[in-house]
Amino acid sequence: MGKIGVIQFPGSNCEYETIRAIEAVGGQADLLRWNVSETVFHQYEGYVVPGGFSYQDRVRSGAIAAKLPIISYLIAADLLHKPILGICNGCQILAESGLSPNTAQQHQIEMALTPNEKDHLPVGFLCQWVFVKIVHPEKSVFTPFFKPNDVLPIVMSHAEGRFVLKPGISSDELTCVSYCNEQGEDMVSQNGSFIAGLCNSKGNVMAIMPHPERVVFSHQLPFNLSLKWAHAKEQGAGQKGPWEALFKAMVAAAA
Amino acid sequence: MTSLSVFVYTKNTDLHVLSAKHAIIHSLGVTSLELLKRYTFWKLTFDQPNEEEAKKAIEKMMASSFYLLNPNKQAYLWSLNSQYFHVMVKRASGHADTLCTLFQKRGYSSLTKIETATVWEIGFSGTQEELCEKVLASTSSSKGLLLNPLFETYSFF
Repeated sequence: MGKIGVIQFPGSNCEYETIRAIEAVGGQADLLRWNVSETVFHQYEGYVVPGGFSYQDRVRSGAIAAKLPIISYLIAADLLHKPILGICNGCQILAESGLSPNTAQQHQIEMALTPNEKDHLPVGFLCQWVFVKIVHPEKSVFTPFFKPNDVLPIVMSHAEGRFVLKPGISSDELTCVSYCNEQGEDMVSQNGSFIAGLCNSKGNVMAIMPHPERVVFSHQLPFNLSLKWAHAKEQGAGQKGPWEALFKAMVAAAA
Repeated sequence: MTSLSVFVYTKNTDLHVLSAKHAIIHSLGVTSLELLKRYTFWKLTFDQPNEEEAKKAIEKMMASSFYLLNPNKQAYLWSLNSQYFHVMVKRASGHADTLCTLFQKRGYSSLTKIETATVWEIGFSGTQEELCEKVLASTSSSKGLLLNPLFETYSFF
């Protein structure tokens, strides 16, 4: 089984729960520091760039981390088709480094995560439960265990999560997770975006703003979210949660 | 109509600048960067012709609220040193309009408009074109840092 490296930058804060999520589905994961050697880095078969506030979000979220040497190793891993998952700040880092969506295959910056805004007014940091649905599950190595239009609860926790794509790039083919209501009807989220996660055209890189690693177990769900998920929570601690399938798929892809 | 510009800066070490300078020199390899400073730019427009009155109003706004600056850790200048490059980075946002309405409700009825941006003061031994290409607009993990051209615009002044 291939090991997954979870990259820790100064200011990351979701790395340990990400490792726990991977281990919960039978995978093996190690913490990789941002200044790890290239030789050690390439011993892994998949990578997660976890959430947090790398470099205190200085200049822009993810901007400083995206210039580090480790990003060139990550680009080399992408060229080898290894699975790469960026969550929240990791999503911002993948955007700033040109790893996602990378439609031109040149690792140029093609998308930005801009400050949360609705009706042209800033809405600040948002931390709340939302519903998202899986779009085109067959296109990404992270989503084959989901069904099309599966509606799942997830935690959103960011201040800069509004996707802006380079002019000329259509989100239709790249979106793999989009915001919706509990019934699965498309909607623009409180952050002003309808996109929650994007994949690259090869399907091996996924950048998602909400936190799947926080919903791997059913006990992580709140009772008041909805009747269906409250019932899942009642089954007790350690039971499968809605996003277990994503990490399971990643572990399989890294094998 | 009177418009006044204010440049707000951090009195102590600006950590954004510290990281940006380190990344530009060590990660992007741009050794021709000599100085980097960051200001929050405010341009306030009043419908009164008296510049002194407008200046007093801005000083009062700054002293009585934390919206334009936090006097505990920030200070301001009315103009900048002209020997360096100055780049104004703007984001499309309704934040300044909201702030203008708020000040108007607080009794600054002659205030008509507020504009805001980030201003980078850059000491760079090279041409403006080189500065744009190597330091400003971020286009990949190896080029540019200070702004993301997908949602920010810039101009020299």
